[in-house]
Amino acid sequence: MSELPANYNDVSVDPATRMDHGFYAFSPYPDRPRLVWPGGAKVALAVVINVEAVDVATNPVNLIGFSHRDYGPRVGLFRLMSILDELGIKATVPLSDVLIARAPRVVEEIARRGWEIVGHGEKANVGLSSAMSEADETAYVAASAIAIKSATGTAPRGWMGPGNSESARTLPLLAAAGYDYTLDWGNDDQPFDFNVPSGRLTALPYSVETSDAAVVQAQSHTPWEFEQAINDHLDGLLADSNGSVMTLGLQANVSGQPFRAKYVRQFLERAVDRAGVWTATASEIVDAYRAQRQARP
Amino acid sequence: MLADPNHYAYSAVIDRPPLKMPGNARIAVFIVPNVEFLEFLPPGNPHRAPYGRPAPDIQSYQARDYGNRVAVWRLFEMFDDLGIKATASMNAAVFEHFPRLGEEMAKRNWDYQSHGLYNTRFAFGMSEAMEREQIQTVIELVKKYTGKMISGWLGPALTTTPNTPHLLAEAGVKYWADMFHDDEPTDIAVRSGKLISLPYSFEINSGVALGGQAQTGEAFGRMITDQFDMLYEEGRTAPKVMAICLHPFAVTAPSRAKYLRRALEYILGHSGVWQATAGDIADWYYANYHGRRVPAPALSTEQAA
Repeated sequence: MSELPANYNDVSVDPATRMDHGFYAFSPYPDRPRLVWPGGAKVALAVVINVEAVDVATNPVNLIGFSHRDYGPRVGLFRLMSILDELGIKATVPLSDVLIARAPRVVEEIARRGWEIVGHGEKANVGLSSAMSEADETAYVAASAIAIKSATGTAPRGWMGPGNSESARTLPLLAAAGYDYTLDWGNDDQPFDFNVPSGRLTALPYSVETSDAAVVQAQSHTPWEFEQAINDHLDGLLADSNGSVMTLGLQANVSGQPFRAKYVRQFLERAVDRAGVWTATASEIVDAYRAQRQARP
Repeated sequence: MLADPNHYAYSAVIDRPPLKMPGNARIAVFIVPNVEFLEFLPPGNPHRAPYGRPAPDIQSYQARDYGNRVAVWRLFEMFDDLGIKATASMNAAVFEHFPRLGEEMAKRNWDYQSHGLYNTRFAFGMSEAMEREQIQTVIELVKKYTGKMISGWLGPALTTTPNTPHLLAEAGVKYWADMFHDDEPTDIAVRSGKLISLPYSFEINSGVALGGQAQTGEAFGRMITDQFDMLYEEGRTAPKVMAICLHPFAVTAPSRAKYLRRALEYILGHSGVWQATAGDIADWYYANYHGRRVPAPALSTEQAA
């Protein structure tokens, strides 16, 4: 007797999308029209700085996680801001809701620079999953938009789930809540649109390959290996014939550490000097992508 | 627990007569891109959870999806440039989802080894009838989209059952790739027909080296060339077989493609390298060595039943 269901060998394809879900269609990279960014650039580079809060672990109380993360909104973000200011780069900031009340200076300094805030959930240790009810998930994604709007006067356009987490319902819920792009998906080097029943939602691909959470923390690579990986990534995209997107995924408490910030600076100094690189916020890239899509026959 | 699966007989590498390869090559190199699909909402399996968290696990899902949308196209271009004869390890459902990938592979006359249907459908827990059905389904899908019979078999996510080798031999599959016991092919004990093991690599494997071990792209490139150097040196007197096991989403990501290209260019720049498909290597072994070199053990009563 098989311990598995009788249909375990079945293959299920959605004929409209070719995927095993209907959220977006398969699209091979070389079959698409070339994307060209403002100024004729080949690669749009978004610097994404995650500024997050987590709960204090209890039973027993452990201060490491909370205080290490809290280095981001207190110190690390401001170190990265001074580097980006010098280079004339505007960043995109996924921000834990709880910091809006706790760290208003963070919101002021972001706004003063014309940087962009992205909804990122209440705190980094509460992610989305299929274990959450639909009502709870709806309320969770809406809460970030409400908190950001009340602090800045503008609702966020972007969403990034804590830990890039999603349930099978998240994409339609985000569009219904008024978000119009998400950084949760890293399955491409170009933006693409999701099929959602209401609103509209674009993926701005956020790659783990170029994020400090994956390369520095999960893979334990050194800061200089991280610098090499992101330099190699940018070179690789510039060598492709398609126009593409690179997100540099930083956490303020990780890449904002003194010994690491140096390597981020070196990467950015080299990147802004390269011909063919356009640094922009996530929304600017999404808009430039949509303008080209609409211009096509 | 089982002391020995009794699939092959023990044999010390120093006791075997040296292999003689086509063109007196010192090393046969086969290169295996794994073209995979992890499902959004996979069916459950009591022996293995597809993901570490509740599905959908979009982090795992999107890595393979990146491979099929973007990275495999860089790999096609690189392999065309270098003239690589590839052996794709296929989650066969990929063809049903993306016939375009089948067309591209067929155009290049790739060789195919099965990697099951999806990397989220495991052999663990399959009855003999269900596993036979899985093998047939895979064979039919690969034929439908590429016109070719699979040359060999690598279990879905490297999962197997005690029936696997017997069912592969019954289906006419030439080699089995799920064991890592040697640098040379080995005869496998089966109930009827014939089967050899053509060892895949758990080391020169981007899933392991860049995944669990989290090596850099540069380090993985160096691991490939170091492995080659040692086997090439040994191959002066006793030729060896080397597998290079690749996952496009990782090895032809923008940051890593150049390290793979350098490693492959280095290997192809040597004389005495037989860069072949796994199917060609299996055919050569059957023609010259099967049943004569290191014969398979007799089946146990349990295996024969």
